[in-house]
Parts: sequence; C-alpha cells; structure tokens
Amino acid sequence: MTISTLSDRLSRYNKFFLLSPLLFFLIFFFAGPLLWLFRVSLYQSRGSSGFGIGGADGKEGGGFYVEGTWTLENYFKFFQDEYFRDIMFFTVELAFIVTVVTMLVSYPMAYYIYKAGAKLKTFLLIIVILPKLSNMLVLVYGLQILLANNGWINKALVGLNIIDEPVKLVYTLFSVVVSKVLLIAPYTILVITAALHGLDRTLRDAAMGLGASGTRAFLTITFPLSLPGSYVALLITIVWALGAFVSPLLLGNPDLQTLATEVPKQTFENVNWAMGSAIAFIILGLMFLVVLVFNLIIGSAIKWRTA
Amino acid sequence: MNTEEQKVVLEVKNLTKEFGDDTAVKNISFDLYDGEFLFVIGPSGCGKTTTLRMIGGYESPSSGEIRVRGQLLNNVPLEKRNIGMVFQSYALFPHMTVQKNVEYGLRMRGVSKLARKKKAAEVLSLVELEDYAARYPAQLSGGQKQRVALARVIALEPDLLLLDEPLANLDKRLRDTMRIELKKLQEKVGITTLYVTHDQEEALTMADRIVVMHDGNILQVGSPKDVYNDPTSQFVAGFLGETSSFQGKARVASDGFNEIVIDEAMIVRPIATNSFQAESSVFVSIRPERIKLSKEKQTQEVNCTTGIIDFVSYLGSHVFYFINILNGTALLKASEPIPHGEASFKVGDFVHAYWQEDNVVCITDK
Repeated sequence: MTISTLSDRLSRYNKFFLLSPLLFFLIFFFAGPLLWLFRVSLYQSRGSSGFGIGGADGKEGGGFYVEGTWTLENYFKFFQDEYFRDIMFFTVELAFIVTVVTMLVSYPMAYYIYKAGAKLKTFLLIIVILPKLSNMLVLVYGLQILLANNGWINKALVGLNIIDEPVKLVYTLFSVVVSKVLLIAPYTILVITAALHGLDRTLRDAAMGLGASGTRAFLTITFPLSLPGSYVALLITIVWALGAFVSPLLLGNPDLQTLATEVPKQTFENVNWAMGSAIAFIILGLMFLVVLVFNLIIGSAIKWRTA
Repeated sequence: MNTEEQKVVLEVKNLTKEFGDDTAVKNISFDLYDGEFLFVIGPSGCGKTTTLRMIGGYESPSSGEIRVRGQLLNNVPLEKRNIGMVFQSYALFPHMTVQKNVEYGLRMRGVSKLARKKKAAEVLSLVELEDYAARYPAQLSGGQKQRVALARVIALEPDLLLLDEPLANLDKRLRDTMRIELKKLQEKVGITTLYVTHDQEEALTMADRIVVMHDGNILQVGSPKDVYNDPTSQFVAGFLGETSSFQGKARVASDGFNEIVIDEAMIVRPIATNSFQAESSVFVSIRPERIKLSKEKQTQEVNCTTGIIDFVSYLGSHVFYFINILNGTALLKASEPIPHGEASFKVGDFVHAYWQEDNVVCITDK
C-alpha cells in the first residue's frame, strides 16, 4: 500500500474522527439508555425502585420488570385508561395553544427585528436571548412570584383599581402557557428572524416598483417567502410544546399535567418503570408524527424551490 | 435621436444625493427623450446606480428635481410611479411561476384576470418565452430570467424603463447575445430606457446617447460616436475604449500651425481648427486602431515616433502592441487588424509609429 492511498483513506474517514466524541457521547448516554427504556416499556413492571441495578435480576422482587414477559400491555393500558387519555389530550391541547401563542408572538417580533436598524436590532436580539441566559428554573420561579396573588401584577392591577381583589393567575392554564411561551419563543423568534434575513431584499423593492403597497408587498412576497423558514420554527415550537414539563409541574395544577410530568410520576411515585417508559415513547411517537406530517406539508409548500 | 421635436420623457435637474458626509451625486442634470435608449456609464461608485435608484423611487434625492412627462416625481412614492425597473439580480419572485411574475404588476393595479392573462401572453411572446409560463424562476437559465424580468415591467407599459446592469450576471457569450436582443427589443417596444452599466462596450454598442459619470458628476453627454471620438476630458478618453495619452506643451510651429510637444521629442499636430494658448499644458489622446506601424521611416516630420515593441497581445481578429517610446518613458498602444492571422511585428522589433492629424484628440481643461 502506497502512502497516497493511506492518506486517501485517512481523509475519507477523518470526518468521522471529528464526529467521534459526540457520537460516543450520544451512543452511550442517549441512544443506549433510550433503547434500554424501550425494552423496559415492553415488559410487565415489577415494583422496584430500581436504583443501583440494571435490569431484571429477579432477586427478592428487585428489578424494573418481570423477565420473559414480552408484552404490549403498557401501551394498551395507556390507550384504554381514561386517565392517561385525558392527559394525552391535554398535552396535545396545551401544545396547540402554546404553539399558536408562540407563533403569534414570535412572527411579528421577528419581523420587527428584521426591519430594525443595526443598533436597535442588536439590542432586540439581546433582549430575546436574555431569558435563555438565565436558568430555566429561575425563570419559572420568577414567574411564580410575578403572577402570585400578592405578586406585582395583581398588586398593580388592584392598585390601579382595575380589579377589586387579586385574580388567580398562578397555577392556571394561563401561567402554564405564559411560561412555556417564554421558554420557547426565543428559539422561534431567532429561527424566523434568520429566515427573514435570508430573503432577497430587492424582491420587496421589485414588488413595490411594480405597484404593490408596503402591506401588499409583505402579504404577497415577504410573508410567503418567509414561510419555509417559519415552518421550521413552527416545528421546533410544537415539539417543544409537546414535551412541556417544567411549566405544568411548577405553574400548573393537578388538572394541568402533561405526559412529560406523568413519566416521573409513573416511574418514581408509582414505581412503574414499564408504564413510565411506555409514556416516554408515546411522547416520542407524537413528536415523530408531527415531524412526519410537517415534512409532507413543507415538501408541497415549497415545491418552487426545487421544482 | 435627440432631435428638437422629440418629447422629453424624463427630466433630471440639479439632482444631488448626499449620504452623510458623502455626496454620491453632485448636482447633475440631463434629459431623456421619447423612445430613447440612454446609457449612464461610469466606474463603480460614480453615482450612476444612486441616480437610477432616485429616478425609480428607491432613494430620495437630497435636492433637485426629477420629472417624468412634466410631472414632478420627488414626492411620489415608489409604488405610484409608472417606472419599470429591472434589477441586476432580476428580482424574480421565486415562489411564483413566470406567468404569475409577469402578471404581478397588473394584479397590483387591479387589472381583471382575463386582461392580465392576455397581456402576459402578449409580453411573453414578445420576449419569446410563451412556452415557459408555467415554470418557476429556479427552472430558468440566466438569460431567460433576464427576459422574464423585462417582460414583467414591459407588461405595465411604463413611462420609463430602468435597467441596472442587467447583463452583469451573465457569462460573456450570453451577454453578447443579450446585448443585441435587448437593443432589438427596446426598438420593437419603443420604450424609453435608461440603462446603467460600467461596461463601456455595452454602452457603445447599444446606446442612442451616453452619459458619462465620474465621482458624482456628469462629464459628458453624447452619442457613442461623439463620446468615443471627441472625449472632452481625460477621464472619458480613458474610460471608453483603449487609448494612449500624453501630457504636452502647446506651441506654434514655424509654419504657423499649432502643435503639442511631448517630452521635447514627440511632436503631435492636431487638425488646424484646434487653437491653444502658447506654453499651455495640453492632454493628447490617440486611439490604438488609428496608429499605423512600419519598419521604414516615414516622410512625415510630425505625428510620428519610434519605439520598441514591449508586448504583443494576440486577439485572433487583431493584434495589440504595447510600444515603448520616448526612450522607454512612455507607452504607446497600437492595434492592427490581422485578416491573414499573423502579427506583423514581434517583441523587440524597432518600429516607426505614425498617425493622421484628425486622429489626435486634444483636451485642454485638465
């Protein structure tokens, strides 16, 4: 073997060398445990806290699952039990509300950033990113304080005589949605802003030169062309909203719980690892479904790009 | 084309544009006549595109007037001006078919669907793209996109067509073809057109008249023939076509004729109608194709020089010589048509160069 073929071979593989630390991490700490959880979801559960052991050892009632019981029972149970079905419907409902609100907040904000001058643009982008620089829990607890019965918002509303007594804001759907939007919107805004900045600005000039008013130029040119990028933002938003965990846990009430909050409840409170795993995979399934549907929609919506 | 009886379509008067401390366009004025194909040319940053954008309504002037058919346009918003602009990037709407692109302006003007269809078909056949109506811009070649961009504005029958370096994004061969097509199309439609480019060749081949801009000022306005043969400034002489230029001193010869002495060695005598102040500094320019070369000494005493060929540029149809003259202190460019395909001289050859009086251009201002 000559030196040149050896170096050829190295260069063919060196992109994998670059990837290997991340691949290693993903395989051992993400894909592996995930597959293992999937396996757990296909067994009967065994009431063990499971800490410190790695499977169905069968000793003294230990282990997460009963060996040799390959079954879809957990999944059947999920879809048959009204309790789980309600949680699933609420999760989807919440995701829908959060998505709609996030998009309604994000698109105008992104468009405003896109149109802003250089200085204002930098300032606005910092404002958008700022919540992401603080810890998520700090943010949610902050909201809890802000929205509390004796929080600033209620005090201000009472002080201004708009309301007579504090309105219950925290531990409601309102507070869950607000915090979830706050957590997701920065990503949505940044993705849409990037999509808008990718547009050719002369297209708007051209539209107006052809007689379109500013509004019509936006509606016929800027907006439709920003859609492919906005679909990506929408997808990120839905997937994030489906996985809502911290917001319903800390700002919701027992009626406002999602599939994500149900996973630790089943796993650790009910010591039902199999059910917890099954629910985790049902969330994943929902997300895959959304991605799948979206790929179909996006494919047909931007056929002009590849046509 | 600029005969007296022709109507003025566009009138630009004392137009100025300032960007902060920079003045991009400095108090320029020019007229554009009905059906005329006017070129504004100049190097990058000369203010030509800014001028075009002000006329189109994409920039607002700092001062001065822009009138189309007598109507002052300064405060008319872009979308209310009936001016068609073709952008360098074509700016076709990528999410619309060719048909929709062409219909866009008509749709914005509230033209009925039926009338839109009819007009779109008409202009698409004009640019010979009737079979491409259902395609998206991504499916078109550069030249086709160019034609769609033209069709899109022609459909509106604008008072004025503005073209911003429309051929700059095409490769050389296509550019040459499009040049002819564009000129023919402009003549066929008879649309008054303002064309901005830095490509002097485009201007010379297509223009009815040329406006040469430099550093925010208009240096010269005239037909391609006038501007090429009688440049009024050093810059224009050098910008349009090739030329050899020399700085010399004017004097009156013993036979009473004016002549210019360059480096006390080369005597250039222009046609007799030129008159200069004695001892004044004169700038002389001679086009390469008007210089003849010979191995033998010529009989004439003036308008000739000798030199050694420094470089030969073979271009197939003709040859370009760079000749060191005046003991190597100056360079003379001469070209020679070579129908036989062979260059007459080679590097290092000693040659006599000579030219006619009427081939000398004298510029006294700068």
